[in-house]
Amino acid sequence: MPQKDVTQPMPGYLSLHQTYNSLTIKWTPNQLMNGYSEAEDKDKSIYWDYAMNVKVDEIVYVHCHQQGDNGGTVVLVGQDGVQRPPIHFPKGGHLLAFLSCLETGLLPRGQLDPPLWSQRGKAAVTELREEQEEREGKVFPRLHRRGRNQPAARLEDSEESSDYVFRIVSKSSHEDFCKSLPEVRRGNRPERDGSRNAVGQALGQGVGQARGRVRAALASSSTASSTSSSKSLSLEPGGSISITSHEPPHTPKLTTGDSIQMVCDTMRRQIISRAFYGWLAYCRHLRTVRTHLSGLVSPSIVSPDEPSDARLGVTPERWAQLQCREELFRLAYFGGVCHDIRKQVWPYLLGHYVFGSTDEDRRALDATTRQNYETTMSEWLAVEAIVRQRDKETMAANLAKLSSESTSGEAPPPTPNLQHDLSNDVFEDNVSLSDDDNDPVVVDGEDAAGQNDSQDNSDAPDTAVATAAAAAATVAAAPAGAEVTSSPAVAAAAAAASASTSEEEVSGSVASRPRTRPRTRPQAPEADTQPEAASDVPQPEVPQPAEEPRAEEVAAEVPAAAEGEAAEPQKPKPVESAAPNGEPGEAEAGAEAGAGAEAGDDLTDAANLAAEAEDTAEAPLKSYAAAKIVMTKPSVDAAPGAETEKPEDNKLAGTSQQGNRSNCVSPASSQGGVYSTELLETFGLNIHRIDKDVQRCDRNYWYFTTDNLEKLRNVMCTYVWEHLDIGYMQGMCDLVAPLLVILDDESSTYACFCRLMDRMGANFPNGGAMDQHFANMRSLIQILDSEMFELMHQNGDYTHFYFCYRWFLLDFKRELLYDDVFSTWETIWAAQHLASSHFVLFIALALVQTYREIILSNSMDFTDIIKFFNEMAERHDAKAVLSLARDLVLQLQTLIENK
Amino acid sequence: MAKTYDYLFKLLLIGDSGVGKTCVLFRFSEDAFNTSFISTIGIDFKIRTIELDGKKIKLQIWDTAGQERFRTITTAYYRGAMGIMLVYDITNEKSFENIKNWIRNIEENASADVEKMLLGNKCELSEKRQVTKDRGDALAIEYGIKFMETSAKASINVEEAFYTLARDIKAKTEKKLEASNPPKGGHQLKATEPQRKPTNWLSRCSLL
Repeated sequence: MPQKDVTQPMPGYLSLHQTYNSLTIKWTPNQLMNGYSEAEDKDKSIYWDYAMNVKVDEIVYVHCHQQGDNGGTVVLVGQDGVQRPPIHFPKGGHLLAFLSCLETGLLPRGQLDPPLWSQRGKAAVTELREEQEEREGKVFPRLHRRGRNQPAARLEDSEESSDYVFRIVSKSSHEDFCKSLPEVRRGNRPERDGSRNAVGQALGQGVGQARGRVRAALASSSTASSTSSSKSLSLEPGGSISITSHEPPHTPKLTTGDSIQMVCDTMRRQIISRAFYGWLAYCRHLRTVRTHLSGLVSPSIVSPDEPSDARLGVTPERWAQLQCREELFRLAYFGGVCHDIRKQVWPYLLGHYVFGSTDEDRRALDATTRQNYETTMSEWLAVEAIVRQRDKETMAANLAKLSSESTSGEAPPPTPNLQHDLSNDVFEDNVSLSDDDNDPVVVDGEDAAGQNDSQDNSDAPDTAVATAAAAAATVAAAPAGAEVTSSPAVAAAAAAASASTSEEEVSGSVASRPRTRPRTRPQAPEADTQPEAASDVPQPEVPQPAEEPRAEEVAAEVPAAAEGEAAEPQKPKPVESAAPNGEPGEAEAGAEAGAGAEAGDDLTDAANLAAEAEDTAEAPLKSYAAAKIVMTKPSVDAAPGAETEKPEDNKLAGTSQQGNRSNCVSPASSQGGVYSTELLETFGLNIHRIDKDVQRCDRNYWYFTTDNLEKLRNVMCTYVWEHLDIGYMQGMCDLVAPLLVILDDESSTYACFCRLMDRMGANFPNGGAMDQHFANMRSLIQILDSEMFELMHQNGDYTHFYFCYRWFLLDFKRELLYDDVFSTWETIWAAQHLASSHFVLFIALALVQTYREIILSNSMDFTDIIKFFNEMAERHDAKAVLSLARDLVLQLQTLIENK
Repeated sequence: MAKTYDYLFKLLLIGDSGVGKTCVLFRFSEDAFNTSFISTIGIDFKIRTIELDGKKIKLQIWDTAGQERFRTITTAYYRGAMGIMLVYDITNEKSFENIKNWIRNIEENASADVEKMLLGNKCELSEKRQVTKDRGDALAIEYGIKFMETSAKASINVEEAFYTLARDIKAKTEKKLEASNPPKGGHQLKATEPQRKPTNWLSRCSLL
């Protein structure tokens, strides 16, 4: 012992450390403490030799010696009978505090004997306290040990000194120990005279070691809750803890047979208790499963074999004979739907059609759906036109900022003019646009004076003018990408609009035009009757302030008209394209000019339009106010050309081909003022987002031609218009796309998409369902694949399950090829009514399970998994995954049913 | 598993949707351009190891969804990022204006000393340009960050941009390393050695 040559007590820091399987007493000289300033220059390394580190497991006895008023000393004696250096405590109850800490630390596996705080111990403590009160000033009570004629009483201290010996007892062996040594128990009993006898028990070294082993074994095999907390008793740093020497204890022996017996008994008990704990854990686990996961699957298990084998799915023959809804879901769930009849079946699966409805019902539903869709569409088309105009303005502004370069080869834009109008109302822009009207050379437009003129001319303040201006705005918006130079044609349109002053309310009706004939554009028929108007009217530009109210007036009357018209079915002979002066020939020419300008791009469409224009121009002109609805057809590009007879049309048509959708113009836009700026901005923002995503949606898939992308866009815009509060969120296009591919009809796609969003909507940000999915995923993996859960647990981040984000958001649409997406979606929809309304979870789980070995063997962390699954997109074996997912559902159902 | 790199830098690409983040990343990681990219949903990343001053640097570049609605999931990645590329589209004024918002986002969510860089993408579309290079420069100066105009399509400056960002992060990292780990001399060793042990167990104690 290094301490033996230390004559003076050495101050230090005492602590008690508890880990899950051991208790350690440590003592470190103050010189080694952090922040010890004295003797900084000296080499401290010698102090390390004095530091103590004692495992309580190895300690059998704790000897306490009270030394008058100087506090007390504790000596620890090991199993081998070797004493550890004595620890001196300053006065002030520190010894008692240390002992109680030690006792607490020993729990639950061991204890001090006699216990400090047991019934006897309590008495002891109470008496200690009483004594303490009696002997005021002496903080640490006197401990008395009376040596008796028992083998246990071996301490040789004088009768006056107040000493105790505590034995550290492992609970598990306590009873055996008591049985085998009854006399020790007796000896442990405290005496009535109040002096406390801590019995220094004579325990054989063999027993001591056996006990040590048992305790260690128990600690390592224990299933009880781990005690990782650590307790410490610390004395004030300056406190004097001294180390002195003490005599070795006396160690009697026990027979080997006894100790073996004890060990066996202990082990048997442990084995039984472990089995019990295992069973208990399993029961708890099952309860967790039931409380947390029972909601994920339906309680009743549906067999794939009864009444018939459902694995073949919904075939045309079966579909023809299908009687009940449940059977449909069963077939779809286990076998999917035959591709040829998906178009018919999907609306049922999505709940759009009611099972058992008659043909007429469905036709009626279709008609209603379509009508509603068209109405909605005309609404947003109107707004879109305004938005386009605003965009154009902004763009012009931006172009203006780049004053150094002109971006258009055709003619420089009249940017200087625009510049001061930039932030103004939508309509303001028309001023400069209409200025160009008479003059194809737009450069003149730059003349600010010219603009002033036009504003001065605003002495035609009747509503018609406002309408005309609005119409001009919308037309101007049509060639969205087109430079400002295309405005002559636009202005002409505006003129046309204003020419038909008396009819502006009729324009509203156009909105309700059935969109099955998207090409029907009510034209500005009478514009040509007063060709001069073209040059006159645009110029009287409405001064800004006056403009809005007026526009609203118009708007006020228009909706009424629109509704009225909407009610009556549109006549079969819609005005396709009114030649400005009613001459078919001219219209044709215009259309052809447009077609020519379109060059190779949409040649056929343009040609079609030309043909149409020819046909319809001959038809009696219906009196529709200026404006046109242009829907999905690219042919529309040529429309502006067909409408005006000016040669510049070419330019317009040519420039407008930037996007065929860009020509969406609605008569309703003449009511522009009715929409709040806020609404315009919101919808505009959404339109931009939609455009960005539609343009890049699944371009590699054969279905998505320009035309069909246009349909996709219409459905998307309609949905967003109806749900402006939600707005467009990335991913929605992905959900519409497969529906559109199958249904190939805008209005039914829209209706089905709405149904789909009933379930999926909450997955999007702010919906809150995603976190729920992640939590469920976590529980499911925990229950069904503990090894995987272990891995995920160990890579902390994992619990966020972000690698599943896209899976859940899009119902695996990006993970699988189109054909697989169809069958996966069907299964999900059918499962909702049959096995689980959270079937996506099981698909996700099946995906994880499919690559389980790879994930585990590479012990992938969160980032690895994200990368892995992103790279595996569209390479999964969907059939196998779906089948595994169904198995997992069944597995959970069985687990819950069997309790 | 042997480490095949000296440093691992986590970078993040942010900016409005459709400015070309994924394309920039694809250009850098695969040196290719693909017009048929679809909008990014959730999060993805690509890896490329580059060499700077003899050090192998593994760049783990995270690509995020542009729509700020998906902020909740994107910001989870801000924290770990050591460098952030702010991307806008020179043909889209709005995307440029939004850079300010993105920077605010970074300030709120990323660590304070994250390296930032501004990229004006699609610079090959000069005829549709809405944001001049000067404005990009001015904004970058305002925030004290570097700026480049890039084109993923025409492969202009993409490589350079990532190298620049990586170099800045490397310099910062090495500076930090030096500060916390001064060159070891015998003298200092002695002084620190004895102090360390007590600190260790003391800290264990103080956990209690």
